[in-house]
Amino acid sequence: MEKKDYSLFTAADFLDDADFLRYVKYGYLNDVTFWEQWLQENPKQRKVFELAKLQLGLILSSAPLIAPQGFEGKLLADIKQSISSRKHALSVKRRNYYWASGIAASLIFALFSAWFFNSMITVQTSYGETRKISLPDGSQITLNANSTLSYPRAYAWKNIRTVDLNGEAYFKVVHFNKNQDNIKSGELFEAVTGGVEVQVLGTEFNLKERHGEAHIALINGRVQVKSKVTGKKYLMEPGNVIKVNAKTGELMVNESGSELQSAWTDGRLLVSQTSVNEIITAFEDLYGYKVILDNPALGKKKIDGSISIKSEQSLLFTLSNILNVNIKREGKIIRLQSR
Amino acid sequence: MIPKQNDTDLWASLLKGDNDALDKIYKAHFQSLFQYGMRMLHHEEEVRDCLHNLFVKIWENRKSLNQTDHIRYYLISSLRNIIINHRNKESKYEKIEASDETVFDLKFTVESEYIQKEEINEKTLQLAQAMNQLTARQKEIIYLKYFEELDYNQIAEILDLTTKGAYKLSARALDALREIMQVDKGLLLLLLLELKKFQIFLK
Repeated sequence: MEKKDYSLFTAADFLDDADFLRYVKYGYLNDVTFWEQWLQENPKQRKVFELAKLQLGLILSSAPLIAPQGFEGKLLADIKQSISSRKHALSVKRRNYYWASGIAASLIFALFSAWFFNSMITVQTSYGETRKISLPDGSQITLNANSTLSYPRAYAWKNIRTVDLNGEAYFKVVHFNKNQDNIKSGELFEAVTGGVEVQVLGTEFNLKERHGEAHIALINGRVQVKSKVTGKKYLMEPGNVIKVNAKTGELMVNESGSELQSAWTDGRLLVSQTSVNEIITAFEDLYGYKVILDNPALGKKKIDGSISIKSEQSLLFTLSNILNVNIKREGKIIRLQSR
Repeated sequence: MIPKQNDTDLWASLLKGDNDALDKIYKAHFQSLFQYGMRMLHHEEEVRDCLHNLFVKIWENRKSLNQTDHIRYYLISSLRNIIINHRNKESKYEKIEASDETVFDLKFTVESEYIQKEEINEKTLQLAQAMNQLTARQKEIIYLKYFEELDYNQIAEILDLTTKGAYKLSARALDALREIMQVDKGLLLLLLLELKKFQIFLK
């Protein structure tokens, strides 16, 4: 016991003293002896001492709360049981989780890979709508109205970059080829329609296939056109326009006129000795109308010029002026009546 | 009473996953924890649940628990938290702390093994009565100090008070007792006066 000056203690001081508490609580022999002796040496403190002891006695008077018979033992058993069952449940849960998540992960990956490598991305334009598409390799495609372009989702991973076209599109293909004398397949780009396969290295061209006829106009670069029917190939020069019959594979080359074919990308229809019927057909293809000339002879008329096709109205307006006709619209049918 | 030097080793064994250590600790501290739990919760079933919770949690989290050299203090502290959570769950609409709104079951009586028959008189009876009027918090502090022999720092930690606050509360409780016990003149008269003062103080 440390040396404290108990002779100056108040009752409260005693109550705060751990040694004093131990003495009152447990009555150990050495404590009893100590205090008896201390009391003899400090008789003046006896009253305070007894007071503190009484206070403490009251404090400690609260009867202990004893657990009923068997409570302690049973609780321990329950605790141990919970521990072992939870440990088991937890490890089973954990095991199942890893197993399941492992399977799930590989399954998901497998499904994803299948989906990724097999699915196609399709872009479709409605009548009167043109859209610009950027392919993963940076190639740009302008899709004309009433057309569909499809390409694989895994385009970037394919050996040959391939797209499927239904309708008309203008292509700006990114050039990958390093050595013109050694062309690797991965450097090729291919646009496929119903009737032809157009293979390029890196170039700008216009491809249109409507009514069983494919028109390929080469702006720059090199293009190889192959008929899917005959397998005949033709190498194009810039400025060339090729017409291929989708069914027969018959090829027709026009040395020039490519700029006419691609003018639509600028919102114009460039015509050079083009028949009204052809123009009307183009209009029908792009806007989905049926155009009827009350005077069929007008259809054979040939026209040179630039017609704005930024909207339906602009084309019709121009036509009506050129042909001197009135426009009568009945739903999806347009009648051109000679004035 | 468990000598503290064994606590460190015993606890360390428990944290390593020694089943035996769990047994030993349980048996050494069960009575105390049961008492404390009963004084807080008053119902055996609830105490059973909380104690069950306490030991299972300790075992399951043993890898991340802190070392201690005072297992009793650690267990009471943890048990108290479990009890508070249990209480909060039971009453979803109010958060009850072990404060003045609850009862800490500590009943003071003159029929104490520590009090000699000769010492029992009117004064002591009234004192016991006055002490029974103490708040739950004050009683809990008295219990932790005198029954569990924790020091003020530990009590403050458990009750989430600043040490100064713990001193204040306990001192207040002790002051109340002191006031009653400090009798200078005319025992009876002063005692009555002191008691009155004490009762006013309590309110």
